[in-house]
Amino acid sequence: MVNATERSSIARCDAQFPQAAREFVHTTLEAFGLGHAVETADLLVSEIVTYALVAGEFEHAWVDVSVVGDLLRVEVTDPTSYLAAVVSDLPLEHTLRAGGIGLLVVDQAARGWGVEPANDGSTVWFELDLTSLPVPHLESTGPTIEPA
Amino acid sequence: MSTVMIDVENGVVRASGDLDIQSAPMMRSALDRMSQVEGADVVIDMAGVTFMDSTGLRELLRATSDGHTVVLRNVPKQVRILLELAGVDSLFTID
Repeated sequence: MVNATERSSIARCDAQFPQAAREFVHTTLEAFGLGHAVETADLLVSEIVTYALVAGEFEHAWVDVSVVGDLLRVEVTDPTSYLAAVVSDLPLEHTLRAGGIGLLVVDQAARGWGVEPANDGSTVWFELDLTSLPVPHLESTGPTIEPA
Repeated sequence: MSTVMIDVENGVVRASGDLDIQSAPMMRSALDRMSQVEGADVVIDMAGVTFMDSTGLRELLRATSDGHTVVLRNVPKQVRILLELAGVDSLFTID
Protein backbone atom coordinates (compact mmCIF):
# COMPACT_ATOMS: atom_id res chain seq x y z
CA MET A 1 0.00 0.00 0.00
CA VAL A 2 1.32 3.43 -0.97
CA ASN A 3 0.70 6.38 1.31
CA ALA A 4 2.44 9.50 0.06
CA THR A 5 1.92 13.17 -0.69
CA GLU A 6 3.75 15.77 -2.76
CA ARG A 7 3.15 19.48 -3.43
CA SER A 8 4.31 21.70 -6.29
CA SER A 9 4.07 25.48 -6.50
CA ILE A 10 3.34 26.73 -10.01
CA ALA A 11 3.99 30.39 -10.71
CA ARG A 12 3.15 30.50 -14.41
CA CYS A 13 -0.60 30.39 -14.65
CA ASP A 14 -0.76 31.09 -18.38
CA ALA A 15 -1.18 28.69 -21.31
CA GLN A 16 1.82 26.75 -19.98
CA PHE A 17 0.07 26.00 -16.68
CA PRO A 18 -1.67 22.81 -17.84
CA GLN A 19 1.61 21.39 -19.10
CA ALA A 20 3.41 22.32 -15.87
CA ALA A 21 0.65 20.71 -13.80
CA ARG A 22 0.75 17.56 -15.94
CA GLU A 23 4.51 17.28 -15.67
CA PHE A 24 4.34 17.51 -11.89
CA VAL A 25 1.56 14.91 -11.61
CA HIS A 26 3.36 12.66 -14.09
CA THR A 27 6.71 12.86 -12.30
CA THR A 28 5.15 12.40 -8.87
CA LEU A 29 3.16 9.33 -9.84
CA GLU A 30 6.25 7.76 -11.40
CA ALA A 31 8.13 8.40 -8.17
CA PHE A 32 5.29 6.78 -6.23
CA GLY A 33 5.49 3.71 -8.47
CA LEU A 34 2.05 4.46 -9.94
CA GLY A 35 2.95 4.85 -13.60
CA HIS A 36 -0.23 3.02 -14.66
CA ALA A 37 -2.32 5.97 -13.42
CA VAL A 38 -0.36 8.65 -15.29
CA GLU A 39 -2.47 8.77 -18.45
CA THR A 40 -5.76 9.37 -16.68
CA ALA A 41 -4.40 11.61 -13.91
CA ASP A 42 -2.55 13.82 -16.43
CA LEU A 43 -5.74 14.14 -18.46
CA LEU A 44 -7.92 15.13 -15.52
CA VAL A 45 -5.54 17.71 -14.06
CA SER A 46 -5.15 19.21 -17.52
CA GLU A 47 -8.91 19.50 -17.92
CA ILE A 48 -9.42 21.23 -14.58
CA VAL A 49 -6.60 23.72 -15.03
CA THR A 50 -7.52 24.47 -18.65
CA TYR A 51 -11.15 25.04 -17.73
CA ALA A 52 -10.12 27.68 -15.20
CA LEU A 53 -7.63 29.28 -17.57
CA VAL A 54 -10.16 29.72 -20.34
CA ALA A 55 -12.57 31.45 -17.99
CA GLY A 56 -10.13 33.95 -16.52
CA GLU A 57 -6.79 34.65 -14.94
CA PHE A 58 -4.95 33.96 -11.73
CA GLU A 59 -1.28 34.29 -10.96
CA HIS A 60 -0.27 31.42 -8.76
CA ALA A 61 -1.41 27.96 -7.76
CA TRP A 62 -0.36 24.78 -5.98
CA VAL A 63 -0.84 21.26 -7.16
CA ASP A 64 -0.98 18.51 -4.54
CA VAL A 65 -0.85 14.81 -5.26
CA SER A 66 -1.64 12.37 -2.48
CA VAL A 67 -2.19 8.64 -2.38
CA VAL A 68 -3.85 6.72 0.41
CA GLY A 69 -4.14 3.05 -0.37
CA ASP A 70 -5.95 2.69 -3.69
CA LEU A 71 -7.16 6.27 -3.79
CA LEU A 72 -5.31 8.99 -5.70
CA ARG A 73 -6.29 12.59 -4.93
CA VAL A 74 -5.10 15.57 -6.95
CA GLU A 75 -5.82 19.10 -5.73
CA VAL A 76 -5.29 22.42 -7.46
CA THR A 77 -5.35 25.30 -4.99
CA ASP A 78 -5.19 29.01 -5.73
CA PRO A 79 -4.82 31.71 -3.09
CA THR A 80 -7.48 33.97 -4.57
CA SER A 81 -10.29 31.38 -4.63
CA TYR A 82 -10.59 32.12 -8.32
CA LEU A 83 -10.43 28.51 -9.48
CA ALA A 84 -13.22 27.41 -7.22
CA ALA A 85 -15.36 30.37 -8.22
CA VAL A 86 -14.98 29.52 -11.90
CA VAL A 87 -15.84 25.87 -11.50
CA SER A 88 -18.66 26.25 -9.01
CA ASP A 89 -20.27 29.11 -10.91
CA LEU A 90 -20.85 26.83 -13.87
CA PRO A 91 -22.67 23.64 -12.93
CA LEU A 92 -21.99 20.55 -14.98
CA GLU A 93 -25.26 20.77 -16.88
CA HIS A 94 -24.38 24.28 -18.04
CA THR A 95 -20.90 23.22 -18.97
CA LEU A 96 -22.15 20.35 -21.09
CA ARG A 97 -24.72 22.51 -22.83
CA ALA A 98 -22.02 25.04 -23.60
CA GLY A 99 -20.04 22.34 -25.36
CA GLY A 100 -17.46 21.87 -22.66
CA ILE A 101 -16.06 18.37 -22.85
CA GLY A 102 -13.39 18.82 -20.21
CA LEU A 103 -15.50 18.53 -17.08
CA LEU A 104 -17.55 15.73 -18.64
CA VAL A 105 -14.30 13.80 -18.98
CA VAL A 106 -13.44 14.53 -15.34
CA ASP A 107 -16.91 13.48 -14.25
CA GLN A 108 -16.71 10.24 -16.25
CA ALA A 109 -13.30 9.16 -15.04
CA ALA A 110 -13.13 10.38 -11.46
CA ARG A 111 -14.46 8.60 -8.39
CA GLY A 112 -15.41 12.09 -7.28
CA TRP A 113 -14.51 15.73 -7.89
CA GLY A 114 -15.48 19.10 -6.56
CA VAL A 115 -14.49 22.42 -5.06
CA GLU A 116 -13.97 23.39 -1.45
CA PRO A 117 -12.46 26.18 0.66
CA ALA A 118 -8.86 25.75 1.76
CA ASN A 119 -6.70 27.45 4.35
CA ASP A 120 -4.72 29.09 1.57
CA GLY A 121 -7.53 29.90 -0.86
CA SER A 122 -9.77 27.36 -2.52
CA THR A 123 -9.26 23.92 -3.98
CA VAL A 124 -10.55 22.09 -7.01
CA TRP A 125 -9.97 18.38 -6.55
CA PHE A 126 -10.56 15.00 -8.10
CA GLU A 127 -10.05 11.46 -6.86
CA LEU A 128 -9.24 8.37 -8.89
CA ASP A 129 -9.75 4.78 -7.80
CA LEU A 130 -6.43 3.19 -8.72
CA THR A 131 -8.06 -0.22 -9.00
CA SER A 132 -10.55 0.80 -11.71
CA LEU A 133 -8.83 3.21 -14.06
CA PRO A 134 -10.37 3.75 -17.51
CA VAL A 135 -9.21 1.19 -20.07
CA PRO A 136 -9.88 1.90 -23.75
CA HIS A 137 -12.11 -0.58 -25.54
CA LEU A 138 -10.94 0.41 -28.96
CA GLU A 139 -8.50 -1.98 -30.49
CA SER A 140 -4.98 -0.69 -30.07
CA THR A 141 -3.37 0.46 -33.29
CA GLY A 142 -0.88 2.93 -31.94
CA PRO A 143 1.90 3.17 -29.44
CA THR A 144 1.41 3.26 -25.70
CA ILE A 145 2.73 6.51 -24.33
CA GLU A 146 5.79 5.74 -22.32
CA PRO A 147 6.68 7.86 -19.30
CA ALA A 148 9.26 10.53 -20.10
CA MET B 1 8.50 19.19 -22.32
CA SER B 2 7.66 17.80 -25.70
CA THR B 3 7.88 19.97 -28.78
CA VAL B 4 4.70 20.23 -30.77
CA MET B 5 5.01 19.62 -34.49
CA ILE B 6 2.07 19.67 -36.85
CA ASP B 7 2.86 19.12 -40.53
CA VAL B 8 0.70 18.48 -43.54
CA GLU B 9 2.36 16.03 -45.88
CA ASN B 10 0.78 14.14 -48.78
CA GLY B 11 -2.71 14.93 -47.49
CA VAL B 12 -1.99 13.66 -43.99
CA VAL B 13 -1.75 15.82 -40.86
CA ARG B 14 1.14 14.50 -38.77
CA ALA B 15 0.89 15.64 -35.18
CA SER B 16 3.43 15.15 -32.43
CA GLY B 17 3.90 16.42 -28.90
CA ASP B 18 1.18 17.54 -26.48
CA LEU B 19 -2.11 18.67 -28.05
CA ASP B 20 -3.52 21.05 -25.46
CA ILE B 21 -4.43 24.72 -25.06
CA GLN B 22 -0.94 25.75 -26.15
CA SER B 23 -0.93 23.84 -29.43
CA ALA B 24 -4.64 23.99 -30.32
CA PRO B 25 -4.21 27.02 -32.65
CA MET B 26 -1.56 25.13 -34.67
CA MET B 27 -3.85 22.14 -34.93
CA ARG B 28 -6.78 24.29 -35.99
CA SER B 29 -4.71 25.93 -38.71
CA ALA B 30 -3.55 22.60 -40.13
CA LEU B 31 -7.04 21.09 -40.04
CA ASP B 32 -8.57 24.17 -41.63
CA ARG B 33 -6.22 23.75 -44.57
CA MET B 34 -7.19 20.10 -44.91
CA SER B 35 -10.90 20.86 -44.62
CA GLN B 36 -10.78 23.18 -47.60
CA VAL B 37 -10.52 20.17 -49.93
CA GLU B 38 -14.18 19.39 -50.52
CA GLY B 39 -15.19 15.78 -50.10
CA ALA B 40 -11.76 14.59 -49.01
CA ASP B 41 -11.16 12.70 -45.78
CA VAL B 42 -9.14 14.49 -43.12
CA VAL B 43 -6.41 12.05 -42.09
CA ILE B 44 -4.46 12.64 -38.89
CA ASP B 45 -1.45 10.52 -37.98
CA MET B 46 -1.10 10.65 -34.19
CA ALA B 47 1.95 8.39 -33.83
CA GLY B 48 3.98 11.19 -32.26
CA VAL B 49 1.27 12.55 -29.97
CA THR B 50 2.40 12.38 -26.34
CA PHE B 51 -0.80 13.82 -24.80
CA MET B 52 -4.18 15.21 -25.81
CA ASP B 53 -6.93 16.74 -23.68
CA SER B 54 -10.39 18.06 -24.57
CA THR B 55 -8.93 21.29 -25.96
CA GLY B 56 -7.08 19.28 -28.60
CA LEU B 57 -10.09 17.04 -29.09
CA ARG B 58 -12.29 20.06 -29.74
CA GLU B 59 -10.23 20.86 -32.85
CA LEU B 60 -10.68 17.30 -34.14
CA LEU B 61 -14.44 17.52 -33.55
CA ARG B 62 -14.53 20.84 -35.35
CA ALA B 63 -13.08 19.13 -38.42
CA THR B 64 -15.91 16.56 -38.38
CA SER B 65 -18.57 19.26 -38.19
CA ASP B 66 -17.91 20.29 -41.79
CA GLY B 67 -19.12 16.92 -42.98
CA HIS B 68 -15.63 15.54 -43.47
CA THR B 69 -14.73 12.03 -42.43
CA VAL B 70 -11.88 12.37 -39.94
CA VAL B 71 -9.54 9.39 -39.91
CA LEU B 72 -7.25 8.92 -36.93
CA ARG B 73 -4.18 6.75 -37.40
CA ASN B 74 -1.79 5.37 -34.77
CA VAL B 75 -3.97 6.56 -31.89
CA PRO B 76 -2.04 6.41 -28.59
CA LYS B 77 -3.64 4.75 -25.58
CA GLN B 78 -4.15 8.02 -23.68
CA VAL B 79 -6.00 9.53 -26.65
CA ARG B 80 -8.22 6.44 -26.90
CA ILE B 81 -9.09 6.85 -23.22
CA LEU B 82 -10.03 10.48 -23.86
CA LEU B 83 -12.17 9.65 -26.91
CA GLU B 84 -14.13 7.04 -24.94
CA LEU B 85 -14.54 9.14 -21.78
CA ALA B 86 -15.86 11.99 -23.93
CA GLY B 87 -18.15 9.54 -25.76
CA VAL B 88 -17.00 10.69 -29.19
CA ASP B 89 -14.99 7.71 -30.44
CA SER B 90 -17.78 6.78 -32.88
CA LEU B 91 -17.47 10.17 -34.62
CA PHE B 92 -14.05 9.25 -35.98
CA THR B 93 -12.73 6.51 -38.18
CA ILE B 94 -10.01 4.82 -36.15
CA ASP B 95 -7.57 3.40 -38.67
